[in-house]
Amino acid sequence: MRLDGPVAVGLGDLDEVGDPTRSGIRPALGWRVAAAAVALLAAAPILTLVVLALDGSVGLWPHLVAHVLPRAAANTALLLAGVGSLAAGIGCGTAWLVTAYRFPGRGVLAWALILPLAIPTYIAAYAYLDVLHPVGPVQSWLRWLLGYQSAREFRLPDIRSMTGCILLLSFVLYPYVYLTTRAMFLTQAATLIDASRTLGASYGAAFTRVALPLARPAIAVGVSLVLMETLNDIGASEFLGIQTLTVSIYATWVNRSDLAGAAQIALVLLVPVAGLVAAERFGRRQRSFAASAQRPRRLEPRPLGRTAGMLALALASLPVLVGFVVPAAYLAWSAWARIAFAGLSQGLLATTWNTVSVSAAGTLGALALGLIVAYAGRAAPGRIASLAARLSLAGYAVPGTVLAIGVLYGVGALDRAVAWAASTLAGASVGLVLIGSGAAMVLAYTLRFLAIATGSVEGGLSRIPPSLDGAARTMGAGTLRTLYAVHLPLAKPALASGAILIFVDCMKELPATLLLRPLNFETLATRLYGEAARGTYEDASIAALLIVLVSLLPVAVLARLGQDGR
Amino acid sequence: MASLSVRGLAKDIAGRSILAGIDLDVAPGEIMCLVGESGCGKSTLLRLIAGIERPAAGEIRLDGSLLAGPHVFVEPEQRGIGLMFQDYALFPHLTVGENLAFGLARLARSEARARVGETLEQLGIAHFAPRYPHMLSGGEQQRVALARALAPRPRVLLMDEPFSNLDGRLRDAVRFETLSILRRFDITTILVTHDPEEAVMAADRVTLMRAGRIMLTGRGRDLYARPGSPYAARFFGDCNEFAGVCRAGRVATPLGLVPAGAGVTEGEEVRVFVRPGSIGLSGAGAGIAGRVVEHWFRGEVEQFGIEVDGSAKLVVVRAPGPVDLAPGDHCRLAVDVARVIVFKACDNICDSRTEPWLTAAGA
Repeated sequence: MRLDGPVAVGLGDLDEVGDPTRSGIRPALGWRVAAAAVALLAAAPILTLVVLALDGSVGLWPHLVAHVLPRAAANTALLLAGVGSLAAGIGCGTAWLVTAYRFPGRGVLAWALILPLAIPTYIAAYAYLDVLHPVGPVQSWLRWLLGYQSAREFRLPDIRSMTGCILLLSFVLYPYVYLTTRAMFLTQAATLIDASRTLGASYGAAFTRVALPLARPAIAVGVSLVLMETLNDIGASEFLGIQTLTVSIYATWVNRSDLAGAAQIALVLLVPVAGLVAAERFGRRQRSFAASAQRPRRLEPRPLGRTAGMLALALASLPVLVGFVVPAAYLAWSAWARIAFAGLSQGLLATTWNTVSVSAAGTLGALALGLIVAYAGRAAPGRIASLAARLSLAGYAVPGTVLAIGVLYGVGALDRAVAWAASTLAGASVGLVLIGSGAAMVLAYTLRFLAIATGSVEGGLSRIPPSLDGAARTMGAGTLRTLYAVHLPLAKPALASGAILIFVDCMKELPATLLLRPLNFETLATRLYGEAARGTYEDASIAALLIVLVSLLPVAVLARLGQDGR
Repeated sequence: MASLSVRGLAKDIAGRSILAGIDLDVAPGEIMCLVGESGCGKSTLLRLIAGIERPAAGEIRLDGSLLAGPHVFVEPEQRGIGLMFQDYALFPHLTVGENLAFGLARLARSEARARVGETLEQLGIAHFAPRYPHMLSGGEQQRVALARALAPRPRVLLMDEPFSNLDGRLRDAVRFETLSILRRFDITTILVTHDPEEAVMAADRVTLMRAGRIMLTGRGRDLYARPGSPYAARFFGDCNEFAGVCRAGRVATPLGLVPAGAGVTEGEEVRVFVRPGSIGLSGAGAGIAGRVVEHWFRGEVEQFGIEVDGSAKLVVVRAPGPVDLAPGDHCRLAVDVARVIVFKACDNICDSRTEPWLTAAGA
């Protein structure tokens, strides 16, 4: 083919090609600017907190130091230590049992042990307060069994205690340790276990001396996640009467209207958070190193005898029963009773609609920002893109309350500016537009779950070979067209699963929602919180059951991954 | 048809120099082959020309207009340079037709559709249009990748190891067909390969790269006959190597006296390279005496390892078959002295520093 018609089309671009003013860094610059904007937005709540805390009236600080902080800090430390060690024990123990031994029910337990992830901590507390109530089903049954007549003669220790709180949180949060540790056990070289046995170690000793030390990085990652969730928890500790730092932040703002004081406590809380983030990152680094150094031959589980097998079944079932079956069954039963008694109330439907719409808005927001962060990392890699990627994790690492205080202050200031402008310029009174419309809440969801969005988009993009980018670019597509014509269609599954995760997390979210919702605006979570706090048991069980059912979605995905993965 | 010129191009990755001082000229309609061991930077050079990576220094010009240089960088989508990837990089979510149409966004829709049909027709794969890449075999995917790169009628086509994902006979067939298509389209092409045979066969001119630098450029036949450096001589084909000293314009080797060539002074140490095909082999008659130790049947040629007095290694000889010699037989060897390659001993040392920049005649 000679220079004929079609070739002339190509030549028509010649001046465009050679013109230096048209050339250069514009596409990459656009992505950098966008990523920088997201990074700024993600960091804003934390920066606001710092400014706010430094700016706060010093008069309150001595009061906090004298009366609030010591007890709250001690409680928090105790809670973290207790939940951390108990969840680590349950998680590692069950992971080793189902990985290393063959016993009846092992196949089901392997995925059932993840189920407690579907029960948010405040729902577990809500359920157990009722289940273990002195006149509730368990204690009544025990009394009947033991022949006592009234609650005055016999009662179990009150669940509303530090011990109760530690037990409760451990039994719903241990799956984080179970998941990471089991993945590690599965990829560990079976030859190492064999080698330790030829060197005279029993199978059990091989666990404590070889498998467990090798899994330490994975355990560190799991426990860090457990502790972050513990710090985030507001419902369970409050229902069970444990005054933690997180609860103090909420109380300082809601009861005293002292935003600066709340910010000061929030800053204190950032110290353990920073430690946890560091521990988690360290664990992940070590884990990838440890895992890559080994041949992934699977450990062949050892059959257990009848008695030992039954014992293993009982041990491994206990966390599933306590962490999922009992609270879920209780919620199903009491929701059923409520529906049979009063039907589905209009208010509950409105609440569900509220929850779905703000969760959907938060999901969209998080995905959009996550897309910018992840795609900037691919289309315009560099310092700005990696900074944005790191800062996008901030919202997920800090407790929801801390994030909410930061958002509250920033958005509040913006609101006042808008209101002032409206009244001076137009003479109209608009009130607090951003907080009143729920925009602040959606922003908090967006920032809190941005990490999940960035992670899933990155995951989806990483599976697309870079040669496809090059192919698209050499065929005349800019980065934007490459994004929507090549990357988005190929990353759709990853985006969809990310969207599910974020949506469910938004639906469950309690601490930030409590602080940022507009007046008289209820989500399923806040409705449950309100009823539990008032002690009125109306639609709460239905709301809780709805949340648990929706939360089962991502858990099912996780369980499937664990089954055919590796 | 367009000409491409590269001057002083350099590229660093993570502080390590990948390419340095690259000068390259490709004439309009020429097929230029970049060849070298893996890791020599040839693919990086291709990606720099395509605009997928940015050079650290130097210039790239297309028909004289600057694509990359100080303060200038034309984005890949603005360059009008086609690139065919080693793994083909076909979009898995688009049909063959849609893959081709992807690069035709600047054309009107009807025009683009016509171009897709026309291009597929020219490559004889019109029936692939509605299929998805995963439904095609490796050879078919290769053809689609070529069609996709050609569809926008790029001014220069770059091909990164275009045949390395195919094997054996299929590879040969696809290679011949691809080259005839390139000739038909009469398009300026730069092809990257690690296979010296492929390079000398496919290209109008071959550029040998080593450790991020260009060693020499020339026609395949010239590079094979006058490789310019011991490294290049070994790269383009097997050699029997002998050390010797120049005496009265000739060098004594275990295969007899050979001319030392111009520029070699009396008493200077040299290395003599003799290709296995430059040695005549017979059962009796004139020549150097030897004894057959190894015999390999290679199809069109037969290869022998022959023990010769004065040579520690077996002398490798390739002769068109059939040859009636077996291990243990005595034989006679006659070197075609016109095809012997002689290097000064210092060339070896220079060569290990990848210097100087020798350019073979005929470039």
